[in-house]
Amino acid sequence: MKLKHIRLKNRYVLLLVGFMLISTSLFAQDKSPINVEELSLEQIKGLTQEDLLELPFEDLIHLVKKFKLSSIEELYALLLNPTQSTASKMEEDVFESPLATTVITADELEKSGARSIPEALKLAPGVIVREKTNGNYDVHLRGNDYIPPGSDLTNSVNSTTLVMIDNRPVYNSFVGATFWENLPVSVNDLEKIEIIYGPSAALYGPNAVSGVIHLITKKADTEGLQTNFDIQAGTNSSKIATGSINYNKGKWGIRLSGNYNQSNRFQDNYYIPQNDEYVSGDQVGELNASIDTSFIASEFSNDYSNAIEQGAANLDITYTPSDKVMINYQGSYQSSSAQTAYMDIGSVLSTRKSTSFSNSINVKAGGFDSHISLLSGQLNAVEGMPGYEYDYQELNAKAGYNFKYKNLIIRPGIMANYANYSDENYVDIEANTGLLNGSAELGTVQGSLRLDYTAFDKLRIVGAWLQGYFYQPERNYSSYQFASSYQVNDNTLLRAVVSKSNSSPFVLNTYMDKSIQVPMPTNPNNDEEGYMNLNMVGNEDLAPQEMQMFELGLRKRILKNLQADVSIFYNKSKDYAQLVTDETTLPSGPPEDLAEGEVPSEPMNDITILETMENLDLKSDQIGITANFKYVMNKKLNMSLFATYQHTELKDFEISDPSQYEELTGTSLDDNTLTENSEYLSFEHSYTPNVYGGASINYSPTNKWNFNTSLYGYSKQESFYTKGRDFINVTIDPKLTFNLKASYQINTWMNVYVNARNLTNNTKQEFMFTDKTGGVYLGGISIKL
Amino acid sequence: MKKIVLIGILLTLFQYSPAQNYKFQALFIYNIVKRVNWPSPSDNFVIGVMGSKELQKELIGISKKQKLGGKQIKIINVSSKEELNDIHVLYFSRSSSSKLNDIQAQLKSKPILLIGEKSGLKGVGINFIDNSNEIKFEIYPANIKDHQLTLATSLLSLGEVKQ
Repeated sequence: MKLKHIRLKNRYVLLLVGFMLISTSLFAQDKSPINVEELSLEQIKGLTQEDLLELPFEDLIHLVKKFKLSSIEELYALLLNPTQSTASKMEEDVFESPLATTVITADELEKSGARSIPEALKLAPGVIVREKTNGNYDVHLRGNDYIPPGSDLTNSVNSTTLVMIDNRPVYNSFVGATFWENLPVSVNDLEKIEIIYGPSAALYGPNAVSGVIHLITKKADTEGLQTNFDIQAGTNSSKIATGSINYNKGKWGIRLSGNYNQSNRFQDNYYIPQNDEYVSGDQVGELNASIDTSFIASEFSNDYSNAIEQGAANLDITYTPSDKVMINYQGSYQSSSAQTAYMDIGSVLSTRKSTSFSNSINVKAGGFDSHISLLSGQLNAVEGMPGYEYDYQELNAKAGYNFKYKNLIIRPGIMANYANYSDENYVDIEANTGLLNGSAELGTVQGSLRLDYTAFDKLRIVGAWLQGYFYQPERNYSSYQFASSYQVNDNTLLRAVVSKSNSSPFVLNTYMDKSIQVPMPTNPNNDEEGYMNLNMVGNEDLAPQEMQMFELGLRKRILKNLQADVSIFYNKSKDYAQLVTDETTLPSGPPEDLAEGEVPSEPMNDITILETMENLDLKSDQIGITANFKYVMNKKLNMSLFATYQHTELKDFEISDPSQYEELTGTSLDDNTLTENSEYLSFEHSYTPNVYGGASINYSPTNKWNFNTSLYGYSKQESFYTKGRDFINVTIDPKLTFNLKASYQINTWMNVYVNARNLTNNTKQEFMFTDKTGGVYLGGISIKL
Repeated sequence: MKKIVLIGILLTLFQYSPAQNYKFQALFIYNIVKRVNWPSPSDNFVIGVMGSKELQKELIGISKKQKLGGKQIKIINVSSKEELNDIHVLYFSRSSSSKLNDIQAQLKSKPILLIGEKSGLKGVGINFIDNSNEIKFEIYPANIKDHQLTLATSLLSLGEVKQ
């Protein structure tokens, strides 16, 4: 009985203890309903304001630290996933972007020591950067460059990438190219560079064919006065100076910046492809004039060693009347002179000079954004060659609105561009000595609609359509971009893109009206001379170049500090254009019954050749893969590694020249066979390197020291070049270059550094027929007050 | 001293919604204010907001669920000098920072905690810097003391203290 009582008592005790345990546990849960340590990312996403209010401040901060928001996680976010707004026209992480996207931040730019914007693009995957002369670069996104091969060097310019400074296209509509030395902003003016790969005209209008390079500038957004000066000097007479004064007071921010850059070539002689020889500077003018009689020998720049000299000033005023409204004005002036490859005039190098003045206004108000800009400039593309100097104006306007309804974002947009190019101040219009012989206009208006829908927080579907109208010359066109991404989990994103874009018509292709008259003897009985007349004309009916792309992508956070981004792309391009001989009026020729040794008594007629810009049957198919790895070991050490493998196949390359046919195929055909029926060849386009990529490592052992090394390289490039009946095989050897910038922070406002570009002085040629570019070694000082 | 306490809202977590930053900023403000002592009691605890509708909305959400010092929290939108009486906290959004100079004399020595959100802003007690992808806050103990307020020492270890 006693025992039973004790057992009962024990039972009550157990019940009591059990109750206490349960209630303690419930009480504990009541007091601290959220165990920060055990929360997953998904659970954090689901926390309500009530839940978060229950958290002690320390726990809230701890939660923040645990999930990406601690300073090291912030570093991961900053280095692995900077935000960008070019891919979707709204701020989002690179990781989330449905398109292949890269961002280079201001910090990366500064630490890398890149001297110029095109040089800085070597830090990005999927970009082919070739140095032509010291500091002058050829830049292509993913390739498809120098097509058609064998054509004039002007076809080597990149006419398919849209480059913008704060929404202002800096595209030269004359030939469709970006002349990098013409940009008024320097590396130190940039907040970041955003790169979108693949056709993106549906958001940005024509010319975003191979992609978009968007340069976003710094704004004066810190209260008070800040100044920043950076001066470096070194070998090859290099002098680079940049400076800015920022002032922010309340709603107003003003930034005044300037830059100057001068450097010399690595050599002062010139390669003449047609003669396969190097000649000294003082011979080039005459030599060019003997090859092209219209060339004015005396106007060939006698500063043979100059590679680049440029200076610019920028004024940026930002007015922020409220949190949702921002009005920004930018005014820029630049003047530049660059000795670089543009076209074959005997020498491949020639001097391009330009001055330009631009004004632009960007307005943001809630979901609305708009841009308007006007650029006025004067440019001489080839000094000494009449016809390549012109005045121009480019007007751009665009507006869009991001409507948000639950998980759907609808963005209607409108865009308009107008360009006017005139050579009337530089040529004899009556004598047709120019390329345009007057003024030429281009214009487009476009409307676009973009839908962006996210389902179940995981599946995102984006569709954009642009309907455009070229009103000068008249033509309708459309572009599209369909993209989808699926967030498998927090660390994995799959994406797919199908898109199509066109370039716009270019002034030269459309309106060229050039006549060349070369004297030639026509009467063998005396010295009487006739002429060979070569007329080159543009074509208003030309179809603009088009690219269609299919792309698959995978982004994976392998570890919290290691991220991979892989894209597989397949694109098809068509509607390349080239001058094609349309009509040839041959001289009457000697009488058929003329005996050997007998001279004709009658003079022959002049020769007239009409060349018209025509679309080619040529198509290009490219398949490739780009992989990009970023690793943040700790606050002191981070690195990136990226590489692209690609294969480009050219199809239906028309060939009517027997010697060219023999060079390309190894078999010979008689002249008549090809004259009657052209052959169409397919072959690999090896001018785009099969493999290219780079890496960078940044190491900050202490708060004072920073070491940044980057490398960039590409595999062998092969192509061919023709001039008349000359066929020249072009081979660019593989090249790997290293850069190193070591900097020391002396105090809070002064930093000194050494900056070695192409540290090992690898002097292999990077671009056909241009300089053997080597190392440049600089020392510099940076002051931030 | 811990150098930085920050809160940054990655858009990975909260896509396309800048208001999410204000959601956390509001939570931070509530937690900071809990660690500040005011000398004189009053019926309500009043937080004035200049400029940011998003923050105001978030704070109103908090005010419906919580009290401060046992008092109801009242959130008011401040647009003129006249609305500054009986206020405990005054928040200046980034675009309203210029108004700080105009009313600083009027607020001098009054027990008001001034909060800003602009890098380099002078005269505030708490300053949120960089409210885009991350939120960090600076603490200016001298400015807070000038306004007759005292801080819990625990707060000092959670923000970036500026002398």
